Amino acid sequence: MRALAIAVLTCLAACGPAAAADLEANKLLIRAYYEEVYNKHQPEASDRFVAKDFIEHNPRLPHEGLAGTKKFLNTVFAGFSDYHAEIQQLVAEGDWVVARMRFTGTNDGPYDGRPATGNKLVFSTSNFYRIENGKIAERWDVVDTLARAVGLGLVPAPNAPTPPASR
Amino acid sequence: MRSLVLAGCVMAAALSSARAADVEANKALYRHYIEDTWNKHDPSAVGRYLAPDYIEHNTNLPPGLEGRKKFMATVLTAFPDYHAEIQEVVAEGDRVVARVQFTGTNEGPYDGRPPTHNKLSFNTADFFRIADGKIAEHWDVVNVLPRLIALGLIQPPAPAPKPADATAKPH
Repeated sequence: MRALAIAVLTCLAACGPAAAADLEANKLLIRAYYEEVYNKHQPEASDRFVAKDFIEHNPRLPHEGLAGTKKFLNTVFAGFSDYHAEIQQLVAEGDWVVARMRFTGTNDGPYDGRPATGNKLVFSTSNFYRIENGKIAERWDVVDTLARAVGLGLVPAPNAPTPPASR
Repeated sequence: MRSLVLAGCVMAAALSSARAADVEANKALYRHYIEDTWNKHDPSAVGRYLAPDYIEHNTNLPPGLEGRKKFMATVLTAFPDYHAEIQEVVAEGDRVVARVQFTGTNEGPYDGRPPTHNKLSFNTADFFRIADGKIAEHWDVVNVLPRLIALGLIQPPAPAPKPADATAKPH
């Protein structure tokens, strides 16, 4: 009876550290994804990080799984030869990793059907990743569309001082 | 020896469930905050949820607890049917992050401007640090453009021209 109790409690205790290890592994996956794919400009390296049948929830991005992400990244690197992703915060729970990101780049190539503007782009996003079998299976995001549009020359920068309205 | 192992297992299990309880409590705190302030249209409830020395990292927002109250009151005046729909909440340690969809109709004045009657729909990602059972710090990413367009503060950007490589083979 006592041996059974020990066995059960050991399992319970093991759940704690094992779950913590999963969270750390998932966060490492996301860090490595940004370093290897985004910052080394290697869309082909995505295979290690993104599931083949990856689901993208941002309507503006390709909905073609892993292949779609590579297609998108190629267009980004063509438009911004110094594109860089900075992770500002990671929060992980269960099969989720959420990243707060800061992207920068100089628009020195054509992008979105428009010629290069030479503008410096700085914008933030938050990416909600669902991890399955050690790879990114699904993604939702929130994008600071104003900063992005200003950087791309789509809208004029808001007049300074920025009113509360710009939230 | 056996009782030592037993004690160790019990402690580890207790620690892990205590951590889990904190995470659940933090998520519940956040959900109540959104319900009681935005969705019940009561900015004064902010004091129940935000630390007195609350730090706001979004520089477009008025700072501190009082700033938060003022900001909410301003938005709720402009959008009397303002509503926050929480789409996902993820928490770890003392951090909570939520993805939220906001909707409303500009039926009230904003910043001295008359209402536009435009419908607004935009999303945010809100990151919080919880301390002593209250929200101590806030960072966010906001999908700003729809908000400015709904308020008539900016013209919608022209749609992207048909890309030259629209029919190119995928890479």
